[in-house]
This record gives sequence, structure tokens and C-alpha cells, in this order.
Amino acid sequence: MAKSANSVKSDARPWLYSVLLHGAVLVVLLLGVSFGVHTINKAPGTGTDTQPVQATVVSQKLINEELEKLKAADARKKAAQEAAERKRREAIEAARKAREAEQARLAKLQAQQAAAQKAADAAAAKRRQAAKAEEQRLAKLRAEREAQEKQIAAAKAEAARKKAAAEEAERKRKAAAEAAAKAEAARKADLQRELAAERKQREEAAAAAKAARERSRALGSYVAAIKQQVVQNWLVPPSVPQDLNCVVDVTQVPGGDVVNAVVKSCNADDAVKQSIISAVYKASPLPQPSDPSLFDRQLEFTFTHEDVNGNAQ
Amino acid sequence: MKAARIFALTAVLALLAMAGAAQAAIQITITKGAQGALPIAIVPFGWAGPQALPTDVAQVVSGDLARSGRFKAFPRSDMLEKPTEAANINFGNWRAVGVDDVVIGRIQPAGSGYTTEFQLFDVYTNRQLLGYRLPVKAGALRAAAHRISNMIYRQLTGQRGAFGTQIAFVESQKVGGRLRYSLVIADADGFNPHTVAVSNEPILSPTWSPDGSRIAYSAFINHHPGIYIQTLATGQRVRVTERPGLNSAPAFSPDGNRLALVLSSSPGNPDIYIYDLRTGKLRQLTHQSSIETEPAWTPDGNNLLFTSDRGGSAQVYEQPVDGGGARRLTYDGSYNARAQVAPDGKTIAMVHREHGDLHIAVMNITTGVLRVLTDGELDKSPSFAPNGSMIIYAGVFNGKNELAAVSVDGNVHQQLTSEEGEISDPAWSPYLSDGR
Amino acid sequence: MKPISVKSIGAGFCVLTLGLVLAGCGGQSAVQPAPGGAAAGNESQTSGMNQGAMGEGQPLTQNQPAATETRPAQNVVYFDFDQSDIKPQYTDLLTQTSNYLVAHPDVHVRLEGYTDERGTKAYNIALGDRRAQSVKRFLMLQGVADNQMETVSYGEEDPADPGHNEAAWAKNRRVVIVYLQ
Repeated sequence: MAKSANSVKSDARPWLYSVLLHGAVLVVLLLGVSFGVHTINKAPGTGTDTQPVQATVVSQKLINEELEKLKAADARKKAAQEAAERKRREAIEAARKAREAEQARLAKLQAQQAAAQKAADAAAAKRRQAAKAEEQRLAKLRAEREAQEKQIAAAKAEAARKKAAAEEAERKRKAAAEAAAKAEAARKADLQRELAAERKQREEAAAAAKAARERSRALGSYVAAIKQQVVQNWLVPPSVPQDLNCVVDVTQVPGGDVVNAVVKSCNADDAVKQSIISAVYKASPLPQPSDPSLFDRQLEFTFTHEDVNGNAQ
Repeated sequence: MKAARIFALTAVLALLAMAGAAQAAIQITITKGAQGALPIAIVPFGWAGPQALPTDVAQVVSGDLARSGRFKAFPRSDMLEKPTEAANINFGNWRAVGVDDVVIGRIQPAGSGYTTEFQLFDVYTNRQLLGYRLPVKAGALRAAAHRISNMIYRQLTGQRGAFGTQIAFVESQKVGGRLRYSLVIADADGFNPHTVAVSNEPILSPTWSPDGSRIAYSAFINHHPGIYIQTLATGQRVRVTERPGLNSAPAFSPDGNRLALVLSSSPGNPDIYIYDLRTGKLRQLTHQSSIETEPAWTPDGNNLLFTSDRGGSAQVYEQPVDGGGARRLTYDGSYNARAQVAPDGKTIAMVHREHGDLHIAVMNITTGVLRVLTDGELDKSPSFAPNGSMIIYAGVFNGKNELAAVSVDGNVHQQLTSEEGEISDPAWSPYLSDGR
Repeated sequence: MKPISVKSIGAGFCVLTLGLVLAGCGGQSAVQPAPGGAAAGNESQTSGMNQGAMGEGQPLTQNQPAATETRPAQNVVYFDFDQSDIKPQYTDLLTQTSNYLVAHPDVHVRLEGYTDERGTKAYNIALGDRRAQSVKRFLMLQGVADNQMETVSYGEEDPADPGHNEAAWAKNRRVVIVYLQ
């Protein structure tokens, strides 16, 4: 670890030196260029300071002024001649120009008159044409209006016809609906009458059935109550035969007290007969019927037996 | 289903009767009775002797009837009166407390023994259903009580009582670091136990001869099992087999002439054999390479049920004794073993494994419907009472091997605890020839 | 290392299936689930306490000196629930035993088969017999003479542990090798 760090350090050092060295060289180069530029610009600047001396101009100036004065007097004489000529030429030129202008004015007037005549003719023709077009336009307009009026009249006639038809249809519909409503009301009335009759019949039947049912249910529950009470009190001896059939005549008094129990027929042994008689007496007093009219002094019990083991699973 | 149909029919008939003649008797059909115990009161028997009797006969009768599960004995402490004569019975009072039947009785000294009279009354009809006078030898009052229980049971259930029967079982104990096995016979209520065989090696699978005079069992002598038959009256023991390999699980045929047993047909291969006790001839019934064991006869003597794992798990099979193939009877569960056939031949009891626990189950042979009767973890060795009402079995209760009994409908459970030793392998005797 | 079937009767059907004993001789097959499976592993730990100082199943190395001169200290083989095949951890013990018996033809052993109590008694007698026969067959294949060995099955009788739990049952499913002289 330390060794490798050292080695990295020693590797970096020459690189650093190299950078520093190159940096130094670059600085030197830059300074060098700067000196060179100064040297080149300085050299021409030193030659521009020298000017030549002027000393011989005064004598030539006086001669030139005398010559000039002679030339000027000659020139003024020539100029006056030239101006008189120029004025005569200019007057001829002006007369000619006036003539030409009068001729041009007349020609122009003639052209103007012709153009006015032509324009008047054109305007007249145009007026005639416009009148004709107007006439045509009006005629077309009249025709259109007539057509439109016819159309409108037809539409009005159609609308009137339709309205009449709709009114007729509505009238018929109303009449039909009224008739149907009347018929339905009549039918309903009939049905109501039938239903009422039927209901009445049914209620009468139900009332009769209910009475019968109640009586039979009362008897059923009376029998079930007696049965249950006897079942609870019947301790079945093991010797009971599978095909047991013992009929016992039982006499009870109002209130349900058993006053007599006699085995009428029985296919079992004494133990079973004894158990049956005991069961009947132990069940005394027997339950009462909900409807007292169901009470009967004489009851007949039939004892059979299910295979308890077989059913026990 | 059946009940609903019958009842619906009844209702219709009743309605028709209504519609027709209003005075016709209402007809009611009862198709099913209550599951329950018959309430009965056994009033203490009268006794005018100078000393208390050695046996409370009424108490024994009460216990017998209650144990059967068919009766609910009315508590003596709740009795409003304790009549000993018919004339003193107030039937209305008994009806009021919900009792169906009342038993009263009287005991008088007669020579060295007694005379016992008892009467059974129906409190609803006030009728005497039963009345007997029994001469009882000295020391036989308990047996007399069982006879009375039998008579009452028969009168009110129509079934023969099994109160005078016995049970055989094996008791084992460590005595001084050594195992000691005893073959014990006791009354069905657990009284009067007496040991008929003792060994320092295991005694297994006692089984009664049909007449109740002999017991066959498997016993080890000098580290080798044999099958023995012991005559109870004399204690004489004869060896039936002591073959190489297994000698186990004997079962008397219903006629008492044959013994089904398990021997090794080859080393490690137990099969069912039938040994003819008259001729001494041995016949191999099964020829399987699997385990075949625990034979049990059907009451007609024509078939043997046995345990076999030929199908991969122990199941109960049935095979005709005189030729024919085996038929698998049990399919419900991974382990069904040691079947016993009920006296009526219609149901079998067996050991049924469920979630790793062994229970006693019964199965209707015809329908195959299996019902688990017990909920112990190690219930084994079911044995029917001769009247088929109860099953005695062995189980572990509070960490100890004990006996218990359950009614075949599963409603009545009772436990027979012993003070010492581990009890197993119960076998309920047949009806015994002396009239008990 | 599967044991040969207990069933050798009617030689035909088992001889052919020596390698497929379990399948071929149905009686041995482990069809039933083994609730004792979890406890089976425990046997290795618990049984040592019962049968002596030595942890059963501990391999007795084959290069042990005088291996044929001394009786193996260990003499109990344990089984899985309702199983009679010998578990691999007992092959060293049984090899050791057979070496000793081969070297001592005058020594006789009684192989006592036992089961736990989770089965009917007579079925357990049959199961214990299978276990004893399994051990006997193993020793015979290792060269021990038939007449040096007798078997007996006590089924669930005389449990090594009278408890009614998995730990006890694991100790009771066993064959005890009893040296008779």
C-alpha cells in the first residue's frame, strides 16, 4: 500500500516539472513576440519630422497682374456684341414660338370639339341601350312575380287541404277512442262482476275447506298429542317382535282420564302387553282436543314397532 | 320414514272415520317407544329374625336391575313407605313418585336356611304381575336375589336375565418382582371371586364351555404355551395342545364338542385349527401366510369368525367350518379384531381401532353398519352376556387394567374395579346349569 | 438387509421373492400407519435405561477384539408399531450375537417376542411370534444353528414398561435374546 503510493508520487514528479518547464517557455515566447513588434513600428517614425524652405515667389506676381488687366478690356467689348446678337435671335424665336402655340391651340380645340361630339353620341347610344335593358328587366321581374304568386297560391291551397284532412283524422280518432273506452269500461264492468262472483264462490268454498281443515287439523293435533304422550310413556321391552301389532281399546272420560285399557289383539309376550297397558295408563290424563266436539270416549290404539337398532345407524 | 308414513295413514283414516260415523273410535298408532329405563321400586324385604341377614336381598335385586340399564331403581331413601304386604301398598303414592312397578318381599327362617317370598305389582292397574316363594339354603341368599332379579327382568322385559351368571378373567400382579397370573371366576356383579388357576407365566384367553362346566385357556409352562381345559367342579386340568409355536385363543363350539384354536402351521405362521374333543383329531381350517387368529363360533356352529391381516390390516373374516372360502366382514377402519358373535347371531362385537385408540364396537352382520360403543383408549376382549344385553370388556382406567361393561345399545356403561392387580381377558359365562 | 419373511411354508411363493419379501409375503407388509413412528426414534434412547447400561443400537464395532469370545452386552432388539422387520441399527448387534453363537455352538438362546398393548391379545401373540421369528431367521442366515435357538411369544404380557404411553410402548415392542447357559 505504502509502496504503491510512493511509486505514484515518484511518477508524478517528472510530469509536474515538465508542465512547469513548458509554462516557462511559453512566457518567454510571448515576451519575445512583444519586443519584436515594437522594434518594427519604431523605425519609420523617425523619418517624418524633415520639411523644405520656400524663398523665390514675389517678382513673377506683378507681371501676371498687368497681363490680366489687358485681357479683361478685350473680353468686355466682345461680350457686348454677343449680347446684342443674342437678343435679336431670341425675338425671332419668340415670334415663331407664338405662332406655333396658336396653331396648337386651334388643333387642340378642334380635337376637343370632335371628342365632345363623339362622347355625346356614345352617351346617347348608351342611354338607348340602358332603357332597353330596363325594359327587359322589368318584364322579367313581372314574370317572376306572377310565377311566385301562383306558387304561393298553390301552397296555401295545399296547407288548407292538409289542415282539413288532419282535422278530419283527429275527429275520427277521437270518435274511435271514445268508442273503445266505452267498450273497455263495459268489459271491465263485466269482469268485475265475474270476479266478484268467482271470489264469492271461492271464499265460500275456502271457508268451508278451512272449517274442514281446522277440524281435521284439530283432530290431527289431538291424535298427535295423544300419540306423543303415549310414546313418551312406552318403555319398549327388548322382547318386542319386529312385526308387533297390538290393538288396545281405551276408554277415557271427559278430562282425559283413562278409565280402562284392554288389549284387543296382540302378537307379543306378556312383557310387551304389560308395557303397552302401562304406557296408556301412564299417559293419563290424555291431552284434550282444541275442539271439544272432537272428544271421543272410545279410542283405539295400535302399537307397532320400528327396529331401533336398524334405525340408529 | 316408516313412522311418518304410518302416521300419515293414521291421520287419513281418522279423518275418514270422522266424515263417516261421528261416534267411531279415534284410532292412534304408536310406532316407537321411549328409550329409557323402567322406574321400579324394590322395597326392603321384611325379615323378623333375631339377627340381621347376611345379604340385603332387595339391595342385590335393585343393583342387578339397575346394572342392566333397563331399569331405574327408585332410591330407598325416597320411599314414602316400605310395605312388605300387598295390602299395605298405596299404589297412588307410587304412581305419584313416577314408579311403574313395585316389588315387595318377606324372608323367614326355614330350618338352616330361609324361605323368601316376593311379589311384583303394576302400580297403574294395581295388579300383581308376579309372585313366588323360594326355599333358600343357608349362605345362598345372594344367589336367591339373582334368581329374583332374573324373574322380574323376564317378566318386565320378556328377556332372560343373566344376573346369576359368572365372569372369568385374568388377574396379573407383580409379587416380589415376579409376575403372578391368576385365572379368577366371579359372579356377574363382581362378588364371590375365586381363583381357579395360578401361574408365574402368562394365562390368556379364558373361554367357557357352552354348559359352563369347563374353561379353556392358553397358559405358558416353562416358556412354552399350551391350551388347557379345566373342569371347574373338580379343578382337573387337561392339556389339549402344546405344539411348537403358538397355542392360543381357544373357543368352544356351541355344542361343546370341538375347540377352535390357533397353532403355528409353520414357524411364525398362525392358522385356525379345529380340535375335536371327542376324537382328539386336529384339522387345519385356514391356510394363509398371514396372521389368522381369534376364532369365534357363530351360534349355529356352522361358521367361524376370526381375525386375519391377509388384506394388509387386521380385519374380521368369516369362514364355514365344513369347507368354503373366507368372507371379509369388516371394512370400516384399519383394525377390527377379536370378534364375538351375539347370542342371537345377528350382531358381532369386536375391537375397533379409531385414531390409534381401541374401542369396543358392534356391527350388524346383515347391514354391515358398525357402531362404536366405548370411548376408552385400550378397550379389548369384548364378551357378550348370554342374553345379549351387555358386553363386558377390558380397558385401561386411571392407568390400570380393569373391567367394564356396556349395554349393546351403548346407553349403559358400568365399571368393575378391583383393588389389586391388573385385570384383563373377561369372559362372560353362559347361563349356568344350576338354574341361576 | 431386509429380513426374510417369517412365512416359509409352501416354499414356492416366498423363495422367489427374497428381495421383495414384504410384497410377496403379504403378512409382513407395513400397510397400516404406525402411530408409534415418532416414538420409534425414541426407542434408541429410552430402551438403554431399561435393558442395562449400554445404549441399544449402539454399533459394536466389528474390529472389537475378542468379539466372538464374549456375549454381546446388549440383548434386546426393538421394533416399530405393528412391524416385525429388523431395523438397520440392530444388524450390528445381531451380527455380534450370531458371531458369538457360531463360535459357541453349545450356547442356546431363547428369543422372546413381545408387543405393546395396542392390539388384541391373541393378535399380539402372533405379532410377537413374528418378531421372534424375524430375529431367529437373521441369526440363522448368519450361520447360527437352528437347534441353538428357540422362540416364544408373550405378546403384550410382561411389559418392560407397564406404562400406557408412547415411551412405554416403544420399550415393549421388542425381542429379548435370553442366553440359556
